[in-house]
Amino acid sequence: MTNAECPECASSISLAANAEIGEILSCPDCGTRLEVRSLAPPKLEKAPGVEEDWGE
Amino acid sequence: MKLAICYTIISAENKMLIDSAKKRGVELSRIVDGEELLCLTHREKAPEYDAILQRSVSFSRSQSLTYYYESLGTLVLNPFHAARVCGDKMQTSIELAKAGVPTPKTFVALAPDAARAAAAKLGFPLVMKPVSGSWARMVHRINDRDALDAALESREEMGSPGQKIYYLQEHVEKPGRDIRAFVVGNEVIAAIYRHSTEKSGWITNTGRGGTASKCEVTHELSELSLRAVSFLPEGIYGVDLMESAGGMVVHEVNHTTEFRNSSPVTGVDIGDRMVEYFISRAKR
Repeated sequence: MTNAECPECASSISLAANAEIGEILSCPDCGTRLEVRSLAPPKLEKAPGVEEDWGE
Repeated sequence: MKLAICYTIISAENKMLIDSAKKRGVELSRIVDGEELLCLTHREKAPEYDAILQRSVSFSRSQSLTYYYESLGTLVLNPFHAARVCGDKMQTSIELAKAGVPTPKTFVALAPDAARAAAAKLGFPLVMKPVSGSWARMVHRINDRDALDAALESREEMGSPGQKIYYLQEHVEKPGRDIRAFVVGNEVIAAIYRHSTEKSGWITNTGRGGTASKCEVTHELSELSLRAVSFLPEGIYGVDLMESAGGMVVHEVNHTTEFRNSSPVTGVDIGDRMVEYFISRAKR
């Protein structure tokens, strides 16, 4: 398990061993939706908002 | 054999698909759609992948990438033609009707006055949707002329050009639920009822607060769902049906169907069945 920093509130967030680039998670401290952008080194960015063309 | 999964974000479904493939001894390469750079004219190497499971949540990116990879000779599930038809409700309705699949009476109007004329033919309540869109976004039940005018004015003032194409459909009285049937290849592997709730209002979409319960795959449901994809390339689809007074009708076919809430209630590992099918298609 590795830790990454929340870009919004600077909290340390644990990434699961099977975390994937593109995975969306919420910061447990500030609630911001975050996207895993890199695993080595671990890096989080604010998750993209839902676009008009998103869907199934 | 090199297999890949293409996505915008890692949704719960995509993680299940990756995990299922791993359990089957297949490591799916990751194609993050926003990071792709496509050289269209000077292709220097053979296709990198034998097959791609297309799971982009972005319809625009999905279409571009699917077309591109198919042009290289790569098998993409679902194929471009499937995305094009399923991603446009007007095309879907036309193809359903042509295939003789029972489907609600539907009009497309390209301007507000034509939408009002369609409403005069359909009567109220009616359902108005954008031709392109998902997750019940901007899907409105219109109960009267005032509500129609308000919805049209909002779309005219704030909508993108695509949202100014008005898809108007007869409102089907249904028993507080509709059905999502999962078609994998030539088989309906599972189905759920999607129930409307206090939170979701009249809409049944589980992403909007609707709930899921198991629906038995009867012969009638199976036969109708397979007919609803008969005009599409063989692949993986989510068929949406309603139980009307006159029998079941099909109103949508989804080409990147979600299933996170459906596997637990049906007892079918839908993601694993998709992966099994994807691998078998890649080997054909």
